[in-house]
Amino acid sequence: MDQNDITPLSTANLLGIEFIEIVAPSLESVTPLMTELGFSLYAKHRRKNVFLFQQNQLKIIINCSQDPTLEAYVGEMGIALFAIAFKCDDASIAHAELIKRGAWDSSNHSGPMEVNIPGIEGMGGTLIYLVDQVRDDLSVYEIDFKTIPSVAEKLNGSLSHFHEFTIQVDPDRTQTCLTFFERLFGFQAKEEASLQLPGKHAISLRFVEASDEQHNTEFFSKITFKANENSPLRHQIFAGNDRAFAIEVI
Amino acid sequence: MLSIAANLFHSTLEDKFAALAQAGFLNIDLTHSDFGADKRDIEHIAELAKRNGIEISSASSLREFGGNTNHIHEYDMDLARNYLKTLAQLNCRLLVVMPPTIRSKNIDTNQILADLRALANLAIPYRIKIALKALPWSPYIGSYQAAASLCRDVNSPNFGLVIDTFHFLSESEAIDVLEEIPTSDIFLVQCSDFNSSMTYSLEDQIETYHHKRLIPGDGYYESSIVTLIEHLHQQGYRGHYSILANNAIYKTQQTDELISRINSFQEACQAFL
Repeated sequence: MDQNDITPLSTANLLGIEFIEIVAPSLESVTPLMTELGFSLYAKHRRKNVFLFQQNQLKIIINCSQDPTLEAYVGEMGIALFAIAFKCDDASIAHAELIKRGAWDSSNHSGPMEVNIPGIEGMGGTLIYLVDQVRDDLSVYEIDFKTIPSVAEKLNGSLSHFHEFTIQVDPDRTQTCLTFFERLFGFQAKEEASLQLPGKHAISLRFVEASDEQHNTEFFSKITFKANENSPLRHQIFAGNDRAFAIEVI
Repeated sequence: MLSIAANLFHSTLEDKFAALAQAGFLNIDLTHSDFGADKRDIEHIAELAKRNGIEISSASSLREFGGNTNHIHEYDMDLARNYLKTLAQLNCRLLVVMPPTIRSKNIDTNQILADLRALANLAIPYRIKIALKALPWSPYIGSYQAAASLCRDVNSPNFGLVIDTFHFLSESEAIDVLEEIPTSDIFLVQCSDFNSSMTYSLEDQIETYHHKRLIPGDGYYESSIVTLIEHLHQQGYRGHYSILANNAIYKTQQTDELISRINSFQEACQAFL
């Protein structure tokens, strides 16, 4: 057995970021921010208080559902980045391999007629979903979400892709957290304290260490977007007291 | 810093925690016998710890772990997950794991490594470290050299070793064995005295390990234990030294009497704590 065992998930190629999930107390609490960033409300979940915002190929799910775990998370963190979803060639195989390597199963326990998305736990109670890529024009969204009419043509915006996710961890935990992602997923180190995520845009996952005990947990502290060259949003940072994460556009 | 294994005392949990906190000992270690089957037991321990300002420093709970290639493997991993969830609930950040002790055709050494790596990965989201403890009678991880080698192979920042003075002294290990172990790999040192002479049967060794450990100073080896502590301190170890004593003679002794003897030992090695 290879001593370092940094092996990519070979049979279930991770292809990139499919979507990210933000938890919030209400749609109204995030709509101004989403609008300012150029996202449009594209679809609503058929049964729950869950919404899909989109801009170009960027998808953000806003989850305001009355789930006790999520409500507790929002209660502690405010509006927070709760999950990232990787697009996969075969999500169930990827999931099985991750569990074998020592990941916690946190598969989305759906109701009848809903899509069951395999998932694992990340840092601090956040999740990592594995989503099969779109095939034959059928996407995972079409089962659970209903498109809002007249939005389809308004999905252009000046943000082109995710650039980086930053996780704030406890002091002296950077190497340990890097090891977690290296061992489970086979991600390669990019620079000190960051890893390369799969996909064509060289998205990275960065770790910063907490200097205080503002939150007694580890969490996503920043989302960095890459914008088109002429975007008015470039070089801006959007902080917010009601949010656990800052937003940066480069 | 000294921590104390709770099973030394034979009072109620409330009394133990209160007495230790009052005496200034705010770090307590749990063993598998402290974990009841009911989740309310865990909630009770968590509540007592919070009330008394006590930190649960370590839990020596995961025994006979790893290596099974048959259906026992899933049982092992399930038990590991349950212990990690329990430690997370107690805010305990160190789980001690012990190797299989019975030679079996269903135990594979490569699988032991894979299982320890998986255990280390499982512990990471819960901010828990894993410390491997060699057992002299384990055919798989019976020496510090074997444990240290496995630690290098697991190669995870949250995976390290437990040094047990009882193991060292009962096996007559040379102190320079410690120099072969990177200090950063030592997560916990357990300190136990005992009364047996050095040369005795395996049966006696196991019996002493499980039932006759003493507070340092109550047996023959206090000065050797202090020497070990001094050596580790010089190597740069700054973690906890856990007083692990389970001898039945302590059942009839008062808590404050036991605390007084722990205080004496603390004074003997204060320069290195």
